Amino acid sequence: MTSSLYFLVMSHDPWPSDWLRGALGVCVLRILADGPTYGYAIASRLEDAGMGNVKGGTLYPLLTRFEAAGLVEIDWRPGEGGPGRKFYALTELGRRHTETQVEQWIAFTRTTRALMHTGATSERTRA
Amino acid sequence: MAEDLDRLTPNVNREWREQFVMELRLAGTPGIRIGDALATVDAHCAESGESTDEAFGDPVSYARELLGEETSRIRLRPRLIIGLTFGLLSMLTLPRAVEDWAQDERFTVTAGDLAITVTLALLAGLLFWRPEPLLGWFYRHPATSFSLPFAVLIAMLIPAALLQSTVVVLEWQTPAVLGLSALMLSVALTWPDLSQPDPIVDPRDDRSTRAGRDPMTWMTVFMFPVLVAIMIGYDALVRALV
Repeated sequence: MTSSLYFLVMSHDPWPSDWLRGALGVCVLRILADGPTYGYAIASRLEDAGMGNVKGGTLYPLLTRFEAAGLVEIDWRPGEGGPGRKFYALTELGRRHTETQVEQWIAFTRTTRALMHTGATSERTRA
Repeated sequence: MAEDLDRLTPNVNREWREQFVMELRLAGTPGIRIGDALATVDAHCAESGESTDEAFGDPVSYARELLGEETSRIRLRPRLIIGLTFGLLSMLTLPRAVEDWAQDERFTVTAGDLAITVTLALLAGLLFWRPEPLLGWFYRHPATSFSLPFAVLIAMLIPAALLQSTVVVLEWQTPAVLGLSALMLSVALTWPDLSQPDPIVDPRDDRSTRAGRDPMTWMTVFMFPVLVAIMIGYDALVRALV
């Protein structure tokens, strides 16, 4: 697929979906590390951070898996003029898991970035 | 029920909700978890301004995503199926036994009666192996569940009408005792499953957390005694009028 065609297809989403699938979990955990929050606020922060519009259909199954794994606990609180909001808060286990995941992700991106730069250097050398 | 959910989840498309609830019910998800999932969808749609389809996509796929590894299909307990079968058998025997007693006649077991018994056993087996279509019907039309035994009985009239050759003739007391035993067993065997209401509970609404037995639950639990009483009463009325 040419790059122009690629961006035409992906224009509604800034990143390929399989990249997002890999990164979404650690990003959501990192947002939760700042304090308890609710689904729509998490989606908004992801969008503001440049991750694109993460739909409820993707976000809540992930949060449900976190809940089942004991990483988050939930609490329904009254909404501001609207319906109640389901707040998610990291548990102690979730906090430790987040720290590990964030460290690993930073190391991973450092590795991939280094590889990207090496690849670019090699291409220039060949040219 | 649908009206309650309309009130509790006004931001969720009704058709989307019905499919979503059905998929979770068929996976045996408790009402309290379904209520939580629906409230989450409602709150998200209210805040984001997106439609249910836009934010959550296909309801069945979303339900399966939420279930994750718990995607096993619901299985009815053999106890419940046997109880329902006994209930239908009591509807076939007790009113006729009472009628024979009132008319001072003997109880004739026909080839049609045997065909009905075999058909009921096959239906019970089918219900055990493939419960989804019937349960799907119950969840879509809970108010009609009371009329379903009548529908089955009416369908059974066809073999009864076609196969009238006598197999055995009994005193009315024998089918009366058997029918009464089947009726009592039907209530006893279905009680653990039918007497426990599992309503969809919205975690945001105090009123929906009242999970006591409502009139519909009581009607379901005592469905067969009520139906047998109606049939006996109807026969008595016809006898009185004719």
